[in-house]
Amino acid sequence: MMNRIGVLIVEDHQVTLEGLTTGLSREADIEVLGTATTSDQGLEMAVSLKPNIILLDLHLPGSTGPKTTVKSFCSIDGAHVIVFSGENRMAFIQTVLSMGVAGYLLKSENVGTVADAMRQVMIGKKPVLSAELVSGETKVTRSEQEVLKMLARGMKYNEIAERRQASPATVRKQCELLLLKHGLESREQLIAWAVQSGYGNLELEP
Amino acid sequence: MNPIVDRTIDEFLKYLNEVMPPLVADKLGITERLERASAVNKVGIESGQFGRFSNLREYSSVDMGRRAQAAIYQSLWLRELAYRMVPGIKESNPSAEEFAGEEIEEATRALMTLLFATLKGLALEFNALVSEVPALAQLRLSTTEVSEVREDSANQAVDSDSDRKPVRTGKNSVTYLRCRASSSTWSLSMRGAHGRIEFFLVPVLEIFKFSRSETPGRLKSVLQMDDKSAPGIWSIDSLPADPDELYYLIRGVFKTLVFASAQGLKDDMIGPAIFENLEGAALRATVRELLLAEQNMAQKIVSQQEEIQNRIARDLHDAVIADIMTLKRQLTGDRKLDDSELIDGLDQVSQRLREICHDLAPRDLIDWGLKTVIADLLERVEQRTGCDCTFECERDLPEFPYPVQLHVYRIVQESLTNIEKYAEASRIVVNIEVSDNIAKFIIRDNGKGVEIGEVDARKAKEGGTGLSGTKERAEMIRCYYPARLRFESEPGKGSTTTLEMRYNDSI
Repeated sequence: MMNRIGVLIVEDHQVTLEGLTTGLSREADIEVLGTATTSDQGLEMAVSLKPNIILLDLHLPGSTGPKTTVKSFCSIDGAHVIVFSGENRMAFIQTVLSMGVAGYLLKSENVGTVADAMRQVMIGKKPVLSAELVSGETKVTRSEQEVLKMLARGMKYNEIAERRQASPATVRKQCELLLLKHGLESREQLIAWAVQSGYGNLELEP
Repeated sequence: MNPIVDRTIDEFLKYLNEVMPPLVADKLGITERLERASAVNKVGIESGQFGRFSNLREYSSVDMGRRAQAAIYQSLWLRELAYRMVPGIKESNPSAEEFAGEEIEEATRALMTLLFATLKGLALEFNALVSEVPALAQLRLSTTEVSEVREDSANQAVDSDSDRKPVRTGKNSVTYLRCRASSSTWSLSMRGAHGRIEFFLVPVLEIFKFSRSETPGRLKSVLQMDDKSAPGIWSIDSLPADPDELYYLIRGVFKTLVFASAQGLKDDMIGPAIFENLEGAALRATVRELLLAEQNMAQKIVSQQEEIQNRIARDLHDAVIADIMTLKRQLTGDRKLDDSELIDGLDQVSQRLREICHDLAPRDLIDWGLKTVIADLLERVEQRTGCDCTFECERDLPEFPYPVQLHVYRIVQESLTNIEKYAEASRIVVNIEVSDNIAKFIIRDNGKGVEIGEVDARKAKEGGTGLSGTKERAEMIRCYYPARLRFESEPGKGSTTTLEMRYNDSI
């Protein structure tokens, strides 16, 4: 078959690795090209096998840490990196996303979701996140609430920044994170969402 | 006990008591502190212990306590008093009206007195060192007390950039406060008037005509008070000076004096041997200081370890065991938990355990670096407290050496913990600013704020070396980069902790 998605799995936990390999191989449009259990082995295989997608665990034995691991896998031409990890703290996820990965999935996902995520990445939707990290499951923090209230009132980034005594860049970043969390694509969508969710009617903090 | 140090302190106290202009002393709240310091000092000496520094309470041997006390005297104590005396650092900054004219003159006198006392302490110590080496006897220093000198203004060598003119007392004369420290060849002359203090290094033979000998080329350093934009604050090179910097400034000019004097000896009489001796003496002094500091540190580390273990035990007991017991009760109780409630409960326990582990060994710091970990720290504060938390960091941080990262992390962590515990804030901002050679970490809250004195009291009450030791951590960052930690707060106005490091010119 011409356009099957070639996948490389880099994962040191044997049971997870086997589960993924078996599960993904059952999907007609996905082909597991190879598996690796260390970062170095994975990098070698990524270069020789030219996968479309690398499914990457964050904590691998013998690596110098997740940041370096992600960086080196992201620098491989033609491959999209989807991180597959148990790490669910937003600050860390954000760091990984800022390094240019195509997706971030939690280890609690089932194989079907992983396969779906791969398909979405292949048709150009980036970044793909676990549902748990998006909308409903994650609480909107107090600072995000404040930003949403101001957005819903039609305030611009600069005005929000001034009001919150923060820099416009920080506000922009917060909005980008909100987009991610709620699976939205543009600022306009975010504003619409904020208005719909009733943020415009809430009192602003003094 | 080190008699020189003792004498220095005595002199110092005497000066502060006698010479300090009462007006300024009261304004800065020094009089009362001084009395308290003397009282504690007395008790400390009589009992062979030193209550003021709580980490010394556990010293078993009297001798060790004394030695540590001496070390602290030399470094911390002088600096701490300096801290209390520099108007810019005190609890609330005076307004321009409050600090003008007469106050400026008196603040100048106060700082001159402090600087001179420090200088005199250094000279006494130095004299004791050189007296051990006969060949260096000529280097012995003498000092002249602070006094007012009226001078003929026709011969002034003021630098023309300064718009600040000393007070004119007569048609052709100005009045300066003056003092100096001299060897047989060079004299370090300090003069001050109206919010400006200058240091000159002058050949001894010329000191009889001060004003003409003090040429701009001999000006070694200037301290200036800007009464317009920042009343009451002394600056060096137009940057506000903190007590440490004042202390190092004095050490710096003192060193210039000693080196210039030794240079003379080298050329004319004794030769290079003197340098070896001089350096030997200086080295011995440094080694002694370091040894004492190390013993002090060792003591601190031991009690910190105890404290950490206690905290782990407490955390495990309070949080984890309690959570598990609750879960167990609920599982065996009448109303059975459904799966999602059970999972929530387990999540909570594992989150708590992870926090405890993380607290012990910040593995994440190694893996992810300072920026991410601080962002996470703040996020967790937000989850726990529901405060409006903002993290600002527009640029990536440079790769600091790991110990620096760790200390910065701990300082931020401790500041956040304190805010969580005491501040009752609704808004917390952590701001990291990075420029080409300065990294600034600012932790701000809008909570109830605190009197600076209260912080000390709290520390004393909680029996703390304080697990944190933010001050000590900042000191340790100084092993790598020049760094400065500042805590500002006012009741009702929140608080701000600022850590600044200059990372491109490492020491």
